[in-house]
This record gives sequence, C-alpha cells and structure tokens, in this order.
Amino acid sequence: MNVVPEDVLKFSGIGCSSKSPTYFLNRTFGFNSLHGRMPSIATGALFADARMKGIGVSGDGDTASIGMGQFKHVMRRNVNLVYIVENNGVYGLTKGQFSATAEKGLHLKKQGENPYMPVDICMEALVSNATFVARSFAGNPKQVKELLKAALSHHGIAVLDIISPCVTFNNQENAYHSYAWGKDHEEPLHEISYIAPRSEIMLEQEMMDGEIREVTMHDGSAVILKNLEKGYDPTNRQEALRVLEEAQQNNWLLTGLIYLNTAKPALTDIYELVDTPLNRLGESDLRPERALLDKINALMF
Amino acid sequence: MTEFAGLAYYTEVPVVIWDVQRIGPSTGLPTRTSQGDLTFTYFIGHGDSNSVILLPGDVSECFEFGWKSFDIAERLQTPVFVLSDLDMGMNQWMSKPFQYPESSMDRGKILWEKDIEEIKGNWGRYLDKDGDGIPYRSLPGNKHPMSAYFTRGTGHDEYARYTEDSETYLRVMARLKNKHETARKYMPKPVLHSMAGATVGILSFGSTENAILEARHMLAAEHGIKAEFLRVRALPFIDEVTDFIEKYEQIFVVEMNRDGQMNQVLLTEYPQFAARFKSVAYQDGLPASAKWVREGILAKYETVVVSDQKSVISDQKSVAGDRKAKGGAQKKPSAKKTASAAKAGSPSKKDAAKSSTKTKKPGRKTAVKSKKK
Ligand SMILES: Cc1ncc(C[n+]2csc(CCOP(=O)(O)OP(=O)(O)O)c2C)c(N)n1
Ligand code: SF4
Ligand SMILES: [Mg+2]
Repeated sequence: MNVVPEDVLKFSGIGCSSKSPTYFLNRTFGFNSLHGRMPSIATGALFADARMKGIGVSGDGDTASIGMGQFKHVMRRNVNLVYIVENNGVYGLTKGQFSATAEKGLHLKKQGENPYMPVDICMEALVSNATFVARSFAGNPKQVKELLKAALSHHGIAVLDIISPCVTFNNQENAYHSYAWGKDHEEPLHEISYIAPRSEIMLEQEMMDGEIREVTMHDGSAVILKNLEKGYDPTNRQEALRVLEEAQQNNWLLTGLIYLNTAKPALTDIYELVDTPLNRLGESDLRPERALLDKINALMF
Repeated sequence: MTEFAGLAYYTEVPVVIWDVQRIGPSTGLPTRTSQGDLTFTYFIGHGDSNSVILLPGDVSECFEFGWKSFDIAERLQTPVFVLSDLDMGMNQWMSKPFQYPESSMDRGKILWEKDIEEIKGNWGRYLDKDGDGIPYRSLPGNKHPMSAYFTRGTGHDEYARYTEDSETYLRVMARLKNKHETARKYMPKPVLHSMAGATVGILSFGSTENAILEARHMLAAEHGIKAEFLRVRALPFIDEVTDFIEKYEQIFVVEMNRDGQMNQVLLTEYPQFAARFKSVAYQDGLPASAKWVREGILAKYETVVVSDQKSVISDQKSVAGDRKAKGGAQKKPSAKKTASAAKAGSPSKKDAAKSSTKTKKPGRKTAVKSKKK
C-alpha cells in the first residue's frame, strides 16, 4: 500500500497487545501510553499535525474494561485512526484475568467462572457512531490483511475487532476467543478483497445478483465483497446491528466488514484548521498584535 | 490525571494544567474558594517526580502566567501546574491592565528536518547534550527519517529505547533531578513587600495578598508587630525565597487550607529552618480577610514571644476537645502542644471580630463559642 512511515503515527494503551507497535514501522513516531487512555493521546497528536494517519493497537481490557469511556468518544469524534483491538477475552499481560469481553460462563483454571455478560466491541463502536467497523479472526490472516488495508484507506475512525487468542491463558477448545472455537464457528459475512486506488472514478455499485458488492473508499481505493449471504449491505447501520445481534443469538463468530460510512467528516475536518500543521506554527502565526491587547484592556479597565 | 502527570514528567512531554481551586475534598463546597490543592500538585505522580507550579496572585498575573506557563513547560519539557483559585477565577477583581509580553515565545529545544539533517541524524531523545538536564525533541510530523522515536512510560535509555537496566534508570532519574534544578532559573521571582524595622516575616502565595497587606498594616499600627511580606510565585523555590527565610526567626505562613500545605512544603524543602515556620492556615470557603490573617498571626506570635502563655495555649487546645487542658494546668507547654494548639487556634471570622487585640481572653471566648456550636 506504499505506507510512508513518516506519514503515520503509532499509538497504544497498556497490555500485551499494546506492545505490538514496537514491532512495526520503526521510522514512525510511537506512543505506548496509559491503560485505556490511547484515544486521548491519539486525538491530541493527530490534531497537532492533521495530515498524519494514526494506527492504534489496544486490547480488550484496554478498550472495553478500563478504557470504555475514551473508546466511546474516539468513535463519536471520528478521529482519523485505525483502531485495532487484539481481543483475547483476558488481561494477558497481568496473567489472564477475565476482561469485559470474556463470555458469560467462561471457566478458567485460576479465575473460576465469569458471571458477567460480555461487551461486544463492534456493537459498542456502532452505537457510538463509528464510521468503519469490522471484526476478524487471527486464524483467518487473509481476511485480516484485506480489512487492514481497507481500514488504512478509511478517512475517520476504523475499528478492527480482531479475535486474537491468548494461547497462554485463554485458548481452551470451547472458549469464544480460542483458535479451535473460532475455526469451527467463524461465519464470514463475505469474502473481501482490497483494490488500490484507481484513476477512474468508481461509482458505488448496487448489488450485483446479491453476489458482489463494491464499496469505494475515500482515497479512491475499493473494497470488493463477494459471496454475500442474504445480500448483506455494510452501509446500512441498522442491518449491521441486526447481524451482530443474530450472531450473538446463534453463537457465531461473525467476521468481515460490518459497517462503513465514507460520507462523514473526520474530526480535524470539522475544524477550520490552517494548512500548516499546528505544531509548526510559530510566533508570527500565533502572536496577536499589541493593539489587540490594548483594545481588550480598554474594554475591561 | 495523576497517572498522566507522572507519564508527562517521565516521558518529558510539556503540558500546562490550570487548577482553579475550589474547596474540597471531593466536590466540597463547590462554589467556594480555596488553596487546598498545593500539596496534591506538589506531590502528583506515581514514583519519584517533581512538579513545577506557578502561583499567580491576581487577575493580571493570571494573564501573564497564561503565556509564561507555556514557555516554561516547553523550555523544560515537563508539566507546569498553575494554581489559581475560585476567587480569582470567578469573582470580580480590581486589576492592573494586562501587560503585553515583551519576550518572544519559547518553544524550547525542538529539532525540525533541517536541524536533524545538520547533525546527520545523530541525536537521542533523552540525551543531555547541554548539561542542563533538558534533552532535545522532535515532533510527530517531522519527515526526516531519523526524527522518529518511541515514547513510553516504561524504562527507557537516552535513545528512547526500552530498558529495565538499573544503571540506565538511575542515570535518567538523576538527569531529571538535574533538570528540576535548572527549572529554578525559569521561575518567576517572589514579590517582596518590605517594611522598615521588620522583625518577623509573612510568607504566602496566591489570592491572599490584599488581606495580608491590610492585616500587616493593622499588626504594625495596633500591635507594634512589623512584618516583611513575601508572596511566593512558584515552586521549586528560588534563592530570593531562601534569603527571605534566612532573615527572620519567625515566619508566618498564611494560606487558605486546613492543614497548612505551603507550610508542609517549606518544612520539606527547608528542614534546617523548620522552627521558624508558623502555620497560619484557615479555610471556610470565603476569600481571605485581614481579620483572620491578623488573628492567626497574633495567636502564633503570642505563643512564642509572650511569656504568660499557658492559659492561651490550653484554652485553644480545648477547642480541639481536650478538656483536661482547660484551666491551664501545664507548666511548660511542649513544642508538640504548642503545635496542636496552633492547629486548633485558627480563628474564624466571627471570633476574630469579637476578639480584642492582645489579651488571652479572646482565646477563651473562641473556645467557648466553638464548643457550643
Ligand atoms: C491504570 C492501570 N490499571 C491496571 C494496570 C495493569 N494492567 C496492565 S495490562 C492490563 C490488562 C491488559 O489487558 P488487555 O488490554 O486485554 O491486553 P492483553 O494483555 O490481553 O493484550 C492491566 C489490568 C495498568 N497498567 N494501569
Ligand atoms: S499469549 Fe497471552 S499472555 Fe502471551 S503474549 Fe499473547 S496475550 Fe500475552
Ligand atoms: Mg486482552
């Protein structure tokens, strides 16, 4: 995709998952911040230079336990950030306690039984008006790759809830976040392939025989969805919520591009920012004239 | 917020935080003023950290510290806390006109593309090149391939690489300490109100200045107590503060909180002068008044200087509920007792209004009145 490292910023919270950004894009600025606080750091840094694209990696604890408040707001603000959740149902780094996405009834040797209902990160993102919501499974790397590319092309917040088994603490066959269960229960919404930007303007096509759907991204690239069961339309938010609910009822691991809205402005678009990045503005751009202060003084004193 | 403050200190991210203090704890008296967050900000952060705190004393100084705080934060690459209070923040004040900043903006040690090119990419985010403890930094968005580094709250070396090596940790923390020493150079100087023939000192910060000036006038005119008055405007302390403390055997530390937080900070920073500090701390949510300042100083002044002290001390002690002390049975009030009497003796405005100037009676009245409430 020709990602230029200098045009990207990396962020994370705290957890095994949050250590990921240290392992890619070494010429890119990165911030391994505080537990559950990645969104506020990312929001600020992406304001300082609005030309930058953010890639954030978080965990299910980092996002849905301690970080739920910040998660919700980074969704509704549509920050220009790929927000990856490496979702394993436990706090891996602190030795496997249940996180907020652990399924009710999950039994772990050291923890006993989880009595609480899980948080569905995709649903939470949707109800908070996220503009790109996808779920994938680490056992399906091809799909992860295509979704990642699509997410990078999205202008605004792109949530990738990737079920990523913790092989140390939560990978028993019957666990929702395990490889075995995922392989057995994965229900892809479609086959997805990403196509880099093309010169001609592509119009969003209507369903073609309920088989193929093409969605044009902000930068002119396209996402092709094949084998759409029941003619799933990822631009319909109500549908998105319905299939998530359906998957919950039927115990499916629903994967794919669940929702996409390319029409909403990203956070920094709604402010009338100057072309120069804010962090490069100097004295001559910023300092008001002496006369202005005189005027203020005259009004007040 | 506390965790972020520590993170900013250790990762050396400049940030300015204004705390317009109201009375606590928690939501406290939400519409009332206070100086109760001094030790909170002074000690803020997990692990070892040091805070830079600015203490404006009036509205025009709030304006000045508004821009100055950013200069200092970016120069030092550290959080700067500015402690205003509700009285300055929300009430009407007389003020001098705002002064246009004469100095230019200071963004501190920042490397852009051409700077990094000049040094051929040979730099470290946490390297102390200049020996002042302040490293250089590049900003996200810098397109030079050698500009990027990774910021983390975990241990890191001079090149921002992860490490848990003990030696490196000690080195980094020692440099941060050195940086805090450098910080003193950038702190606004205290404001000194001198008085010919002064024998004692008054030290304060923030919005209490006018009340103290008035109280000082009354103390001189009605009680013959002449005080030089220093209004501190920043932490860490600088030489001007030390010089002032060295001058006087008695220094009344006047502030609007219950426990004497500035006094606590002074005791920590100047243990060698501990016996000089007399805490005059009081808060009921109202702006400082000359009456309670005067009464507070008189209470402390008398306990040390006037010889017939016993009953005053014991009366005041009874405010705190120590009935045995009532009647003044002790022969030699110990330092400890003096201290607790002092704590209990913070006068309220009403009491202050009733008390006469320098007999021990006011103390007794105070005691009886508060007990009945
Ligand atoms: C404020 C705070 N609380 C608790 C912790 C301890 N802690 C570190 S990682 C973690 C959980 C991480 O879980 P998750 O986000 O799911 O990441 P994983 O390790 O599973 O990838 C916790 C509780 C912390 N670092 N900070
Ligand atoms: S297997 Fe579990 S504990 Fe180990 S690194 Fe992965 S998430 Fe962390
Ligand atoms: Mg986890």
